[in-house]
Amino acid sequence: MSWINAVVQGLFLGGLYALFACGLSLMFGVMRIINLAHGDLAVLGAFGVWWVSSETGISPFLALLVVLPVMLALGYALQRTVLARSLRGGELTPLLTTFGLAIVLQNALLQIFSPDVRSLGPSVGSLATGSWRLADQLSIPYLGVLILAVAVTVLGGLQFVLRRTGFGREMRATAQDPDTAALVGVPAASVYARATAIAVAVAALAGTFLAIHSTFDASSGPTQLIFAFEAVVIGGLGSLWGTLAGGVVLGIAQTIGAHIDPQYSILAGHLVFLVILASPRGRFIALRRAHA
Amino acid sequence: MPTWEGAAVTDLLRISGLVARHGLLHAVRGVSLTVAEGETLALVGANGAGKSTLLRTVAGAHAAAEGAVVFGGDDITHLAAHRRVGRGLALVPEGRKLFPDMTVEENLLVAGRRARPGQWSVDTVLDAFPLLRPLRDKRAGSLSGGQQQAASIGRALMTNPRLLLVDEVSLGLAPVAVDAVYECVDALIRGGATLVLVEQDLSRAMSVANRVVCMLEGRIVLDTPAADVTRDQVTDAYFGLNRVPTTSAPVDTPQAHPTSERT
Repeated sequence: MSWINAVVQGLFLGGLYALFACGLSLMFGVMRIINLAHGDLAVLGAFGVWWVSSETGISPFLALLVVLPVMLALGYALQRTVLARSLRGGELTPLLTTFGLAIVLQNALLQIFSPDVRSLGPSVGSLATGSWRLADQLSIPYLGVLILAVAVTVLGGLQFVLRRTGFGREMRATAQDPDTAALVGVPAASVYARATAIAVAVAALAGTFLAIHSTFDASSGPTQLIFAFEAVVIGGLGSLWGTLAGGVVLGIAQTIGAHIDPQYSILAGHLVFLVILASPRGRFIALRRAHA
Repeated sequence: MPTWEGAAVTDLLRISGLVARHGLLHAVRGVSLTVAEGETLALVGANGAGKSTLLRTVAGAHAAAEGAVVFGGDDITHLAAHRRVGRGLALVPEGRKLFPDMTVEENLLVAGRRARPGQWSVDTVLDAFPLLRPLRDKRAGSLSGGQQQAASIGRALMTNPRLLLVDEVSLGLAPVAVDAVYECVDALIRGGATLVLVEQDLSRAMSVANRVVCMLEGRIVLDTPAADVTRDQVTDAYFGLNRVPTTSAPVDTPQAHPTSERT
């Protein structure tokens, strides 16, 4: 029974990783930008929610409603100002730009908020710790269900937007061929900016759930970035449902690893990632990347 | 002068002294050209003559180094490509360039999203190009060359262009597919569309166009109503034969002599 419990907990953890991964996947899919600042933008969002929540005393979920529009605007501005220019410098320039941005963000957060480790868990009450006990060693945490539901909603919503709306079609067209998209009247710059806005806002959402689920500090970003990367690669680039599956595989690997021995948690996740990368599927991913 | 003003009003597109480069290569060297409303202009010339670059520069996909492009009375030389589409200028690019992972219908819809108001919608495009109707839910990447060309022209029409530029109408298509694509083109011409066609196949080009423009090494060497010119005269311009003295005209084109007054 405790093994089943590990798998169930992994499923919920996977929801969080998928939420982290989908913004990364979106930016890579649409603009071929690997956003190395993704984890730090998520942590910035978490600090934003923590700050609004502690200044006003409102619940982190209400604070999130304030922070999300700000993060949307930040993502939009980020693309319009910094990333659009780097994209003109070639494929590698955005990688360097976002790497620099990650360092700037981490140090700015450290400067402003000090290196203290924080958590939003205490401010949401029993939601963070409560669970439905199904059996002696099997429980369903409220927060896990909430995170997984949000992840499925966000990924499903994005999938719907991409497949069924005019804006989504413009995004897919621009992703496939930006020059031709411009020739049919699609303003690539504006599509890019809106895609980045969505990616940054979803990152902030993921960062907030991380902060409720466990703890965060100014240097939490890079670890989350690695998990997001692994989820994207396991699930296959450019597929949102694949990203959800990738997050869940990674999450289950980690909780099963932790069940064997707590120190194997992260390692087990990395090992599954490496195994998948070495498998034929990994070669397929590498090939797609090569002629993308 | 009234005549000049009259001309300015009916000229939908006016290109003057246009220069476009690929790095050090001068692909378009001082081209001046006007296209009147309702005209079908065939742009011919050998590979590398600068036809595609000219069209891409007019559409905004390539930067103009010098000169001006005036469309519908407004200078659009420095306007971004997607804004030119909004003014009613559409290019069917060489190689069709459909969005391969989207369906035919999605390819049409993406172009229609910011379209000018006009007659073209998914339904009217499918009516005009009946071969596309059974393919509307197929991935564009899985279509044959002729089907892709029809879809690509249809996609450009979705923007309700006032002027449609078609680069390489029949290049790389099977003869049957060329017939199908030209049926589409004929339908457009009958509907009064203004077209600029780049075409390698001279007979095809001259059969549909009412004006023939020939480019050679980045310049226009022939610009004449299609009715006033023979295939051989165009061939001469195509290969630059009018530049050699008529006394040494190539033996295989004896009809080249009447063209010597042309420059």
